Amino acid sequence: MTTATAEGARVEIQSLTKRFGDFTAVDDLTFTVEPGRITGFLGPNGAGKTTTLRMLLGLVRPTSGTATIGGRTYQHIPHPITTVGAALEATSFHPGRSGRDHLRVLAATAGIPTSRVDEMLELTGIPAAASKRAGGYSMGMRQRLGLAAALLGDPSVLVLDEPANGLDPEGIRWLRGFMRHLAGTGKTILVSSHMLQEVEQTVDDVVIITNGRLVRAGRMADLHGTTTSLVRTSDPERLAGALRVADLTSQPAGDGVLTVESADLRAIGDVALRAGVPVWELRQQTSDLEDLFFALTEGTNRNLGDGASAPPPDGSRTPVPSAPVEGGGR
Amino acid sequence: MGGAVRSELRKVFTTRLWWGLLLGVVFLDGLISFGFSFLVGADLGGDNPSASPFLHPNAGTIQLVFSAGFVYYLTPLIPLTLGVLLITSEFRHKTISATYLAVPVRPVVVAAKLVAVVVTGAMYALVHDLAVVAAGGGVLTLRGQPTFLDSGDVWQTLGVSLLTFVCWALLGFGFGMLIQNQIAAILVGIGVGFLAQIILGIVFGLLSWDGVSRWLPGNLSVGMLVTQDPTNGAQASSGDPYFSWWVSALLLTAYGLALSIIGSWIASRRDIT
Repeated sequence: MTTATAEGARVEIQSLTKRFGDFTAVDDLTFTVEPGRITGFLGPNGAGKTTTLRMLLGLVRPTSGTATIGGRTYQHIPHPITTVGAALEATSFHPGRSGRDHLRVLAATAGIPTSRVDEMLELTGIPAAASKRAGGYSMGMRQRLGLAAALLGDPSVLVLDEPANGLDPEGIRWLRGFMRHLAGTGKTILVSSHMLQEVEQTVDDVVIITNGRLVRAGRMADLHGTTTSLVRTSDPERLAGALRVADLTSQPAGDGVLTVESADLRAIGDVALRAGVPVWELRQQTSDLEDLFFALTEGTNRNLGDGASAPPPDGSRTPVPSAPVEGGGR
Repeated sequence: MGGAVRSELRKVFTTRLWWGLLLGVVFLDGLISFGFSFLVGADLGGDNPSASPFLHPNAGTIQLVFSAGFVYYLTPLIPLTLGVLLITSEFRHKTISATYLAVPVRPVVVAAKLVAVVVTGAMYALVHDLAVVAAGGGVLTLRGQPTFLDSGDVWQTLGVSLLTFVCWALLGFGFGMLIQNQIAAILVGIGVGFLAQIILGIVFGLLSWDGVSRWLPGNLSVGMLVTQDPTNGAQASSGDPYFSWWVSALLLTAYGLALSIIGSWIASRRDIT
């Protein structure tokens, strides 16, 4: 079962659009998932994540645009489960069929032996329960069985749609470790979630969409933005001048506060000392990811009716935060 | 393609559906054959005893005993239900996503499912044959009536029943593909396969549209199975209500395939959301 395509394949979404009647679920979406990395596919509920993934997997026909894996559309991949493993909603099992038989049914399509089925059940920790009928499975069991199904063909690309949904904290911990383990084996992983903190510690890259449009794509580390420093003093203008001489850029943030584009607190303190101004407060500041995610996606959720889609009255929260991220842009 | 077929067959035999319905075949068809075998050789009275299909049994009489479930439109409901359930359970339980993920070329999925439906339908027919011969033939032997099991016509009926079962399973499959909602597909399937047969038969009779009711699928299956006139010619005077067996077979096969292909074609264009 070792696949020839074990070297991770690149997932490319190109100008992908899907309209259901008047409703545009996915709107001219373009992004790339790099091989061998975990990419978080983020957005609020109803942002178009699942529709995008289903187009990538050939279940939904795009209105326009393309979605390819290793340069091929899903339909053109022979025995696709040996190249791409997908775990969609966790509920998709026949309640009268055992989990093991569910996997055996899938395995038959690509000539995968039943011994591999049992290996995957061991790997996901459900070998005993999987011989019972799936109707009685807990949410955690279903998620694990879904993962076992995705891994059945030893694929080089994994597409996981909300795998943490319905998992208890213990299950989420297990899932994180499991994904790390998989990424360590060089697999390309695209994992969707509506909660940033769920995948924050797991993903290398992020793609954030809202209302079917891309709002941000790039490395997770860059999403935090550059760390800046806050300094409060009696005479911000004088300190700003002294900082400029020392090659440090700063912006006034009001109330005697400067935001300095540097994480070097010591350098800022030294400059202040040389300039003879008192330092009343000096600390590093990083943008909070949850705030950032919320700012990127809030106020525009089309699923909450008109009230939510109106811009905030004070207009102060709408702009996307300043942290530049490669490959981003609306 | 081979893998897809194996997958579909595994799908059939890993839930309780197949043997549950198969028990239905054994009991329903066995019981009907059992009951009818008591009529063979009996004088049922009536205006014209010589027109009775049972009084002077011939090979056609035995064909009738072994296919009585078809004559009363009950037996076809089982392969029909089988066909409906095999496909609609995929939509109902959303396993169709996993199916298409494993085999993304939808015509291949349809072809594999058709093979699985044909194989399962034929297996049901074999069990049906065993049940009716055991129950009906057993009673006939005990009652000292002829079983005509040395007659080629009776064996033809037992053989053609394979095709009849397969066709009805295909009709169910096509209904399921078209309607997708499991409950609705079963209700419509049974409505068309059972009630509409009877109602249309009566309506056509009242309008004296002789020959039209021959086109109904239920009458096609009877025409395939009861090839010899059990009334020894008494019925022939009122016009043969059935096409010859091979015309019936061709028509029913065409119905089954047409419905399956139309249903599959429409379904294969749908988004799976």
